[in-house]
Amino acid sequence: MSSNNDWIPGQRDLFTLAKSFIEEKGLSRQHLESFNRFAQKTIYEIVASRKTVHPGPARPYYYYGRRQQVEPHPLMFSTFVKIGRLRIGKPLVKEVDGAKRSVNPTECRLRNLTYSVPLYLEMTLVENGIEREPEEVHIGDLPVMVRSVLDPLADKSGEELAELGEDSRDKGGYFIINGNEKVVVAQEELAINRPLVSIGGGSFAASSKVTYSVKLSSLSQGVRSRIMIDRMANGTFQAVVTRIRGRIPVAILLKALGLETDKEILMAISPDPEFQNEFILSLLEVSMIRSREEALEFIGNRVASGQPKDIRIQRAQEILDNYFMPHIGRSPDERIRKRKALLIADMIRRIIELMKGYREPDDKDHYGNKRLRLAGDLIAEVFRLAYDTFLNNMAKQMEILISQRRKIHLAQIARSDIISDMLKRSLATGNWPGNRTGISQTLDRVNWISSLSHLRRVVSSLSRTQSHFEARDLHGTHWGRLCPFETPEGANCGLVKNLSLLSYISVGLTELENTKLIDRLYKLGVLPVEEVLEKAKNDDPQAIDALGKYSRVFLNGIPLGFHPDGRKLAEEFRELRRQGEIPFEASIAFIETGKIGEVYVNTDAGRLMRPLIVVENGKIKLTREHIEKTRKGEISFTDLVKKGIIEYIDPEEEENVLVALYPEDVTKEHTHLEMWIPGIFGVAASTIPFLEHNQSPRNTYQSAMAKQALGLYAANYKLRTDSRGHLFYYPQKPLVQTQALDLIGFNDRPAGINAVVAIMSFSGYNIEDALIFNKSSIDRGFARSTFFRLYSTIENKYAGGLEDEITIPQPGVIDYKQPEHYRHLGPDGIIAPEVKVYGEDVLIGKVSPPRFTAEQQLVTGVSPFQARKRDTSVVMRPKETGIVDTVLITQTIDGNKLVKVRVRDERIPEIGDKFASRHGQKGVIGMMFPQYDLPYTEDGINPDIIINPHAFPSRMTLGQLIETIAGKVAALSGRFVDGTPFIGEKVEDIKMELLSKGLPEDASEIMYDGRTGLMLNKPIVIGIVYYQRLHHMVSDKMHARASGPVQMLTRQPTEGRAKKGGLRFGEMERDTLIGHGTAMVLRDRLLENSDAYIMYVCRKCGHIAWFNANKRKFECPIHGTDGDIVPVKVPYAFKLLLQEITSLMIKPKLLVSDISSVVEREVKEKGSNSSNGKEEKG
Amino acid sequence: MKSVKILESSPNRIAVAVEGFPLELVNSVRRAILSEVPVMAIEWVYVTRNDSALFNEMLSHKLGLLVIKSDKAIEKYLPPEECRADLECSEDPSCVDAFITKKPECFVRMVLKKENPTDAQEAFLTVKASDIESEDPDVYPVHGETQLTLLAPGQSLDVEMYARLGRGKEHAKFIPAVVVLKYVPVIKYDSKSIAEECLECIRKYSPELAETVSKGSKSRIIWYDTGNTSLLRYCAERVCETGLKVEYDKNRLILVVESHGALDSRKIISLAIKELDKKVRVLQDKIGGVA
Repeated sequence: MSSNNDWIPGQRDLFTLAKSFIEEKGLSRQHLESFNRFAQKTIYEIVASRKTVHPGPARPYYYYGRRQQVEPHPLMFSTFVKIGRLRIGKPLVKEVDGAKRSVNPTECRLRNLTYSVPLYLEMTLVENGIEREPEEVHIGDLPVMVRSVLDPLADKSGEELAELGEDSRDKGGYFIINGNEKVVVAQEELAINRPLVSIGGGSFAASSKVTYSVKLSSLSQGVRSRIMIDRMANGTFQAVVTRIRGRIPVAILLKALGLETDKEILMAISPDPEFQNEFILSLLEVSMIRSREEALEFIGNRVASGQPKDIRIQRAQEILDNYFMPHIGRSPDERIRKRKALLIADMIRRIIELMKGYREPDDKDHYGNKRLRLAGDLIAEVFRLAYDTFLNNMAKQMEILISQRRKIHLAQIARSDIISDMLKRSLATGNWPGNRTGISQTLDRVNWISSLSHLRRVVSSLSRTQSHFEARDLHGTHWGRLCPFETPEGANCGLVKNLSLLSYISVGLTELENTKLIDRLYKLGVLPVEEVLEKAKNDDPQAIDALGKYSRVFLNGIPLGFHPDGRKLAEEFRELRRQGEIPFEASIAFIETGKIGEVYVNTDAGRLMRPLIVVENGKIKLTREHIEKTRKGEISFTDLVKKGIIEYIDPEEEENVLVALYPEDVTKEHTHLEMWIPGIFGVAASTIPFLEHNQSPRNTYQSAMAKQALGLYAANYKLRTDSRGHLFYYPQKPLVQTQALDLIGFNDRPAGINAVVAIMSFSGYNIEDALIFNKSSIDRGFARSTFFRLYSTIENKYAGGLEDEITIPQPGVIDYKQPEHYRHLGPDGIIAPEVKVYGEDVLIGKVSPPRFTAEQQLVTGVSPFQARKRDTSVVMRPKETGIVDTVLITQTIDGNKLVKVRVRDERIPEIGDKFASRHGQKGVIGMMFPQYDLPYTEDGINPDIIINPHAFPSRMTLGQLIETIAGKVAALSGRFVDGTPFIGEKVEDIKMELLSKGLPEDASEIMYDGRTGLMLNKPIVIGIVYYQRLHHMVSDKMHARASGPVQMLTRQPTEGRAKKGGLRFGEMERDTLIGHGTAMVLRDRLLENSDAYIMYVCRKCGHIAWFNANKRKFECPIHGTDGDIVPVKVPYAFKLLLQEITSLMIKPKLLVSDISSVVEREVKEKGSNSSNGKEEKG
Repeated sequence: MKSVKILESSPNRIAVAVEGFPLELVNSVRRAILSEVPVMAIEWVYVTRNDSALFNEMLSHKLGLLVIKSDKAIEKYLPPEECRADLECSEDPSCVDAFITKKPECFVRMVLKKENPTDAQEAFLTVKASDIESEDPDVYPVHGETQLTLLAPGQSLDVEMYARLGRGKEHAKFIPAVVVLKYVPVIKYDSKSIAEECLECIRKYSPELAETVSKGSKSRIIWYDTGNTSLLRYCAERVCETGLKVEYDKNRLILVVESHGALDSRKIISLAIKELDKKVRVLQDKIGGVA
């Protein structure tokens, strides 16, 4: 037993914990847990929030901006629908013939379906007071998060998943909408329900008089409300509250909420006279308002002016009860009002403390003040809206039916497409209510890392256009929660973040758990707010003490009460949590910033927490048995949390802890031990070995490039129809590993190859970050990949009985191409697999009815059925080649024929293709040399890649040099080297091992020039580095044009490779020609080779003229055929400009003269001006 | 002064010490081995059926890289220059077909037919190079254990392929060996002034050398080592300050040839010399014609 006491965990043991943490739920657990909460709890709550649906427009309508009371329909009370329980079905799809079939994700991906479950709602129709039988009605379809509780595949084994066409390691966390995988990206928002104090009132002109300010935004059940209390320059406190117009004195709010006397108000702020004195002025300001009723009336004047007094008071009360600080409560309850009042008083106290210098302004960038909103919350938002729309629509339908005295059928009035479409549309487009865009995005499937990283992305709602320097900075509270390296460069830098491997996002306690927790807190000695306020009124000394000296306790921002010793409360709370008496997600923080302590108990969703090993009295609670059992899988990570061995700490609670980095460092003062240090990095940065040896931005660059590397992006790639995809031929596990690579599954879905890399100058073709490649290695298959592109089409049916036809188009149809382009099509109009295809070959032949059929029939009288059809065949992209890989023929949800053709193209590395090591060192192939020309070592080893030594000094990527050595050791010893940051193998040991293999410790070797056989003067560093092939390839980008298509509007050449565009001769290029004085070259570039056009101008009127082909004469708009019409060569864009100006009712007049007449005029002028002009001419 | 000494010799590896020959000449031999010695490799593949997970082009590439026994083939079949259909046809399959039938003395036909029955017990059947049946018993894949692909139950493979002679300069699959040409180090030392850390370093490289160097007095060794002498040079230049110097002499060279298996290592050298000789003769003929 004593030996066990001395045991401290080693890094391997800690890794076991990290492994168990990640393997328990996978790397997309945040999305799954959030969605599960929605599907198991929130959705039922939303449905239950409406008990009945009454006919008629349910929403109040507005007349001249005033809210009108709706006169209820007489039948409204006797005929209505009662809402019962919600039932969620299994994933299914309804085919055109009405058959309902269960589907799996693979079928959805292939057939462009939505993976969703039907929602059934029990509804009871009450007609004229008579209750009918309850019915279960289909109210819509809910898209299912793959591998969530609603997905039957969630508890299938790897083999079963593979059987169903899934990647057995895909952990889900995304939706499938119309066959596309969509991720709902986590949104970072400023925490709600907590007051934040700041100096000054912001940048508005109206706030210039504000000296100090405290803001609180509150949200509950979709009701949002903000309150801002400002201390004005004149010393009074004013509040700005949502739904109440203008600034109002805070004291009025307090009075309206039930703190009627000045004494009560002052006591609620603080019994300390120093504080009270600051508020006296604000009380004097409202001394004419004495009673609660007067205060309510004052507010009423702002919310319902012009109404009778009792209505005003009633409306004011309604707003205070239902829409003010909704997180505290939304019912007319005196206790709730008291709490609201106390929170306002507390906010005032904070301002005064800030004024007096007792506290600092709150740090908005502290992660304790941030919350993440995940798929579950965001879907709930849309669902709430959709459900309301659905019920309102039902109410309207009922009203119509009643007014027409028709029978009501529940199935008829329930329009199930409302909910289905709203959810689907939001997810498909990424547009969320409230004008937010980009919430859902198509899952990045470039490689395994990019998919995982996308699922762990966090986007800040702060706008990209403003600078927000502080918000972009790395904050101390990001440690262990967000990756310090993985963020984009440029506009989104620091606003788009990625979760660390070991971060956990709280799901939030349920209502019931919260109630229990409140009871528990009272038992721990928290004095309830109402009690204290009541006693304080009667000068109870304890109550006065409580108000002035006790710690104030808040639960999720709701003032709960007072406790004599907040620190002790926090300690007792943690003790209980470790015993499992309190849920592990509940956090407590004792903060002593101002004069009195504040205790924050948080149980809400979206807090970024991180697991830490508990240390008590300098002793690590984790034992060897725990590790053994975890390793064997006998206990799970959750078990360790339940036992209180490991704790989740949120950023706020982390202010109270002292974390030891290494087990050896633990002292008496420490409260926790870091679980696994490399867990502070995100998925992408975890690929970097010896990361701590690199210059920091290099790690950021690699984090971005890891997502562009080609690899095995999904094991089911043959069953996928991604619009484009890259498959790396022989992906390898890196020889230099990091422990995290196993956790994130990189070793099973690698993206790169171990290359023999020499660092030297050779032939000059590797300057400026270019790379020299070994041609012979490429011959042998080095870094090859395959590119997939999907072409697809649907045989649509149109109104009027017209339809597309997938067939071989016959000569005569509009847009018929050269016959040889159709040569590969089979009798069904579809190409066969394994056919080699080139640019513009037809893959799927299709003819469609003419456009604008109805209009055409009006003009020409030809029936659309007889009109010439259009060729709408699917054609290979120009300049691309490939082999038809797979042909899929199926049916869409509307019963239309859907054909998908996947073309693959082998991509052998060539000059210009992009590669990168794992240290932010990217480059393109500059030259390829055959083996016999390349340098070789005395063992006959040729490098695969030669990188220029200039890549290192300024970039300081020491990690790559160490990887070179470590990779060489790995190859020579036949083992993997561990390059995990901070805890991996030591560089000295690796060097010694290399030495023991009979090679220099710095990985240098004698080399000979393959061209001459001469020994190179200096030894060359050569070793093994893991290289990634990035998806930027020359064959996708190479482009040139002589003549080609032009834009319709301007007749200028088109832009871009896909449209066979020209290369822009831009403004700066134009400047060079002007600078050179080469006018004719300028004319050639800008006019002749662009949009030269012969325009006719009438010299009499200066208007644009034209040639009338019927009369075979030139015409102008003023003089008809009698004008003096001349041709001029102008850019077509100029002609367009003239016409656009004309359309603005401005007449542009052109003065035209030819060169000879200009010369003539010049001569004439000179001749008349100078007397000896004739002589000069002679 | 010219001398040739064989240091090591086995069918797959040969190491020759050559002295007194110009480096340029011996390097020409090295380069000729890599780029000029003809060996057999599969060049054209007809895929009749391929159910495996590998794409046709990927499987063909793997087949192409197989090492094919070539010692008899170089006598029996036409030289590469007469057998390159790709020079005439580039990508037209029917032209390639015609070429292959037109030049039967260029090509060896091989067939790979393999099927994993639907009721197979094992999850996978490994297709190996030894499953390839060649029509010429003298021309076959050398390393029969080379894995080509896996077949799941119910999958089958039916491939017909044609091998021809080719040279390393065309494609790396025709390279017959790994060749190293290197200098012989000459070690000058003075046992009295050798520092201990220097000896320590040398010991990591070769205990015997360290032993020799630590004894005796001033001396000079010509150190024939067919392996890697990088550490020796590293020790001499970076660790040993006094007492030991290593010089590399380009008059003494070692040529190491490690065959991939298509040809005997000795034969590779003699073929390379023959190819060089042919080139020299061409030059001579041309000049003779002028004169």
